[in-house]
Amino acid sequence: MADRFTVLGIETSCDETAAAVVRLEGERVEVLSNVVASQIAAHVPYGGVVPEVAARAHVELIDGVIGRALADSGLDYDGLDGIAATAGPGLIGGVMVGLSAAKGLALARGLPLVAVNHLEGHALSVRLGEAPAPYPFLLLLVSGGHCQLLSVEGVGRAVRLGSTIDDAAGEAFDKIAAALGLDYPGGPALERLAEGGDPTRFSLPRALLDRKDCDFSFSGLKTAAARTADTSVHTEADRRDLAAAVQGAIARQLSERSARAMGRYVEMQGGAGRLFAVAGGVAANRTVRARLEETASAHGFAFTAPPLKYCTDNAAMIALAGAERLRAGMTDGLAAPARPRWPLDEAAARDAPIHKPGRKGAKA
Amino acid sequence: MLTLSLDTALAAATAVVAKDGVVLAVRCEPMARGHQEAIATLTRDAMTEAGAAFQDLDRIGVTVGPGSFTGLRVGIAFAKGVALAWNTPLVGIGSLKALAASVSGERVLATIDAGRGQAYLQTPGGPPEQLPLADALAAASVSHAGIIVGSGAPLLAEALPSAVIDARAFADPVALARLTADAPTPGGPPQPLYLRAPDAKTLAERGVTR
Repeated sequence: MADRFTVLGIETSCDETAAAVVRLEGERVEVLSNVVASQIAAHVPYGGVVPEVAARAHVELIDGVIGRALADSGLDYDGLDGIAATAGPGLIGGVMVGLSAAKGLALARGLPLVAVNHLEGHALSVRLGEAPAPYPFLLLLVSGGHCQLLSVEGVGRAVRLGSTIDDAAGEAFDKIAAALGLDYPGGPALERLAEGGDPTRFSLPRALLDRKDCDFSFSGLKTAAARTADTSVHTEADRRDLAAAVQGAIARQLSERSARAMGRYVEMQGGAGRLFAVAGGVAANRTVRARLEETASAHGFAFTAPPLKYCTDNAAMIALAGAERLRAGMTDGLAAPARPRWPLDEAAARDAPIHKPGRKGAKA
Repeated sequence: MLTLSLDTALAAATAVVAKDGVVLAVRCEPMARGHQEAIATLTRDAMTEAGAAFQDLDRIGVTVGPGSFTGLRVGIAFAKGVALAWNTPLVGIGSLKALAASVSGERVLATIDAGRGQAYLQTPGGPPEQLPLADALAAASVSHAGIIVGSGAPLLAEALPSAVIDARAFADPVALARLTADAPTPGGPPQPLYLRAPDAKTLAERGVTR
């Protein structure tokens, strides 16, 4: 029992209301339940995620989702060792809903509360597969809200090697898809459209070529693609070719920066843990994934990505992060704040948070 | 009946524990923001002072609005979490009704300054609604209310020159406890009463065609 941690996790930081129960026993990770109520339908009329619409849906769904996650796990609250919830970064109205519900449960059941950084959840999602990834590993987190390269050395111990200076890769996918007239969420729709397209026909700009760091930029690509869509796309074949070019350009940039980060990571880790993990919704894109697998292989890294259901936002990853934190003795007080911005590097120093209401700081 | 009442809808965070009409413990902190950080600790302290255990609660009441959207959601989400823990019945309390119950007297008009030239109000016997100030003044003047209570009271005072003005910014904890105990058995989990649509336009409203 001493080395077994069963945790209910809650995730409400964007447009998925999710709850899951995960058990961590030694190095064994078992997902006992995983419930995700997607709000995509609520946001389709707006062409994207509207924070107020998301927050409204979260508070309506939260109790039903938690109840189902517990029922599916076959456990009662007595069987839990802790309650974990995403406390940021994300859309603050939604984050507050999940965190508040978690506090209510934790308080009323006398269970410890763990306030989880959403990015740490994604980082640990690669440990939810059949064979949990051992620490350390190099992580590319690439989703609609985030695009970062991290050296992950353990729970609460991640070093950021690079980050986007403007849009996230998934955001670029979605916005360019919208410019091509595709419905939200556009990433998967753009991938389908790109099938059979010629990625070399339209040339798109390459970002930050003069820089030697591992940072990303997608806003130039987004603007150029939107302009091309306006001026040069007339036929279905044009649309396919532009979609293929966009997908190729995003994959190329992700691959180039990852390759650079691999060099840095090898220096940091002294050659240990040559594992490249990719998490986040964009990891589901087959072109991106194939390109990143090639990159890993070329640099002597093994490649791993969580199963698709743990790539996109989910609560199993939050529950696992909660369980790992609980095992490490890291819990939070009932006054834990919800944080719209919360860089992962800071997670290690979170026992002395510098956050004050109204003060923002780095996005992620 | 042992009850816990929670209110984060307006300018305070409040937790009240009561048993059979007697208030056992109150934690009420006026605040414009920070309800999310405050409410769990206030609840813990009120329960501890009352010597009450969560599994012994017969009912939880929470204000559903109108009020600060974030405040409503924090209170309802937190209350849902507490209620789930021991499968305790959860009831919603209208925040205008709670304001009205905070003063003694017949014919009370409760109103909250909703900003943007709007007021939330509930006339005696009427439903909670959001009205432009001019309409709110008109509704107030024909309400025959003897008391106007809430943050919007000064805005509507001119409509009822003889009415008593009580501009309190949040509900009285004792009234919250009473309304929790008196509420009808709920049909389902309470949801926020926003009285205002999300501040966003759909693609169609923006004239975007696909």
